[in-house]
Amino acid sequence: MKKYWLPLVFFIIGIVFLLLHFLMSAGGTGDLDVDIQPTSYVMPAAYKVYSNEEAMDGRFFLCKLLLTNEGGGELRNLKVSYQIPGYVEWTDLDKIKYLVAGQSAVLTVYPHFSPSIVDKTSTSKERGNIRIQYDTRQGSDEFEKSFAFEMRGRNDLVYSSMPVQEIVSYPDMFENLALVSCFITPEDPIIKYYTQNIQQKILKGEAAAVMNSDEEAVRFLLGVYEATLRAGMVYSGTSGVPHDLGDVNSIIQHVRLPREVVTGNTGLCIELSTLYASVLSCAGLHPLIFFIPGHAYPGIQVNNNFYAIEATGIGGEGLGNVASAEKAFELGMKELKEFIQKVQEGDPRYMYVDIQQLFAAGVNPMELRDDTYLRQKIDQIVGSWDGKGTRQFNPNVGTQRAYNTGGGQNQGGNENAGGGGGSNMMSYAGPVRFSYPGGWMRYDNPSPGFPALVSQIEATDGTTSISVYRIQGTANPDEAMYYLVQSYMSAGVDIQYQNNGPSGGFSRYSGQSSSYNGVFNWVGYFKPSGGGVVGVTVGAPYSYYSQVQGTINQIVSTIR
Amino acid sequence: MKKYSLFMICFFWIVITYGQGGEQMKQNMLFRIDSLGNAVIEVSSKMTATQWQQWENTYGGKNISLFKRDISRTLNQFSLYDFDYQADEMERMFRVTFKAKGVARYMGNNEWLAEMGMKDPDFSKLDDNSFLITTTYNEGGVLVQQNNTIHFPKKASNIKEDTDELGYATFTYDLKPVSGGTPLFLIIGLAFIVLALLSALFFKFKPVKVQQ
Repeated sequence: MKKYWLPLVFFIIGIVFLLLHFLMSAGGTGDLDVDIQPTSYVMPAAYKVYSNEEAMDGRFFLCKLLLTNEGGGELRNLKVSYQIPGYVEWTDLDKIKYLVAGQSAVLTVYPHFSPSIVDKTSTSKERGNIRIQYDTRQGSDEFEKSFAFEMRGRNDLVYSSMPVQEIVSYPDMFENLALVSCFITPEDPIIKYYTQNIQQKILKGEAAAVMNSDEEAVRFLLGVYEATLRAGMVYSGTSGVPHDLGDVNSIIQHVRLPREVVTGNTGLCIELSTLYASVLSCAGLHPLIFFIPGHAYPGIQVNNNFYAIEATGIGGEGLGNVASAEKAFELGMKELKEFIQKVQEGDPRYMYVDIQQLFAAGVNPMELRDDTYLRQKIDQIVGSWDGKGTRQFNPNVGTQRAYNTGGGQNQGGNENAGGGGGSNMMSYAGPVRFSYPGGWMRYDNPSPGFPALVSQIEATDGTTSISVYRIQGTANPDEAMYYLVQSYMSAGVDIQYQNNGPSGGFSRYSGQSSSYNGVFNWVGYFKPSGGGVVGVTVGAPYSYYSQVQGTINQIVSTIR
Repeated sequence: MKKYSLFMICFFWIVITYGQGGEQMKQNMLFRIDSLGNAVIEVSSKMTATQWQQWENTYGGKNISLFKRDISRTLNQFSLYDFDYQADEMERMFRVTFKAKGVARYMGNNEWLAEMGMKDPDFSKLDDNSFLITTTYNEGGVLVQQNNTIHFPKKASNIKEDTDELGYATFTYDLKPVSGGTPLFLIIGLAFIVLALLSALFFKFKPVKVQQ
């Protein structure tokens, strides 16, 4: 028996290891490891963005937690809570039911601040607390940890969240540019009151949003300028927006709220721009803010046309250069022309924000309370308008210089930059009549399976094309468009369009067709004719559209 | 649970190819989800000449760490690490791989939930453990087609695709969570027992030397 002592030792060691294995797997203890990645600052003005995990790609959060079970057993019922003393009471996050051995979970804290956070006007160091309660096989346990961050004042706009050493390009420096819409406050009772006064006292009534008319929209834009001018508002002549890479201070800017600009009667370019955007938005219009190096100015989009005004034209007596509304509009349109050229050249420093789009994307402004004192201030300002109100506000500015969203001048422009069709024009006399540049290729009945397409005419370089349609059995242009959309859809082409209203006996449409071959922008003119609808579309691929805008306008102007 | 949008990944490419003729872009994303709900993610694309030039100017040849920075900020619902970048310049292709923690959650009763964050998905089943989600976006005039392949753990079963209340792709699957105990002790224990048996047999049948 003595000879079996060695096998016996081996057997016992084996049993011990097996027992260890089963003990660890069946009764092991969970061990929670928590990695907290806090934000470095919070902007009170953007408190609605922080609470909305869908807004701006969820980039604005209080902290991110990586929970990992590094033990051998399971963790259960993990209840994660956070608190920001003085701002947010203890709040529960998602409950994690299980965290098995080795598993990780990521939780992001999107804090729900009270609207009163916008009362904060200065920067302070704050503390966030995280508490995690969980169960293990041995009982309950708790983890608690704090982290520090900076709470900025309500007027602070942090243009970039990146550490300075991480900023390598101009867009990096303005990565938070969209948050400027948090400073645009159309729902502010003071701004509403101010807007009503502009509508009544300056414009003597307006219907820009109702009529969707370029002229009315521009009149409104100039009316806002006139209001600031008559009130004696002055431009504070420091740099409106950061213009160069620099230290942290240069990418955080103190931006006064629109109500503060109105009642303080002074503003930087960015502040005047947010004031304009607030008033325009309050009136139901579609405001934009254009950013160029070191400067910003407001604009408006109506019927796919852009208009801009140089809001700082108010200057001030001390500055010695006060522009009339018409002159400020002229300056704005000149700047807009340069802006579009720079964008087309791919200069990343030229950017704009579309306020409606940002609001729809959850980048919403702060809530502000009504204030009797500020209303009285508005009354005083409106009184100053009356003092200078002998001049009838009737701006003599056409909208012929509008710039369309494709980047080039609009169809009414005299400054079209598109490649001209030359003087050698050919006439087309089919269901509709028009002229087109000589040398272009014309194909009649180009698609026998699609008889509604009567002719197709294409530029030799393929950048522009004209399609002529006769759609039998449709009662009106809208029905015809519906038929075309359905027909092209079956061919894998998705068409988005809008009716721009009547134009020279036709219904005008503008739209975009998308397929795997790319995106095609076009304008179309359709009218009822002989038991159906006839029409023509002229367009170009998205990326060429602005280059051939002049040619398209030339063709369109000849449609009869 | 925050939904991330893979569209944002396209966004970087759209930005760099904007104005380059509106060429269609194709990108592939491959998710290999492991038994702990983590994943290895591979992003790859083959580009046209102009797209490749822009890519090289923006990320690839210049500062690929910016891509890591941008994608980490976009997929901030996961914890990303261990990035690797490979480029085939002759074929104008690149491949970025990285690991992501927290892609699937254990819901108990051997059931896991993976929220993929792809809006309005078009599901195709490749095999018992793989799905293809195709999504197409038209952003800024550039048509982007995404092919997202998701490989689930080999032992996963009963994989069901679905969309949540907001239209984002989700998957549920059954998989017994891995045991917390290390298999090393099991292997060593079994090895010793086998050794014990062999040595016992050896001693039992060991020939005995006869004294002359």
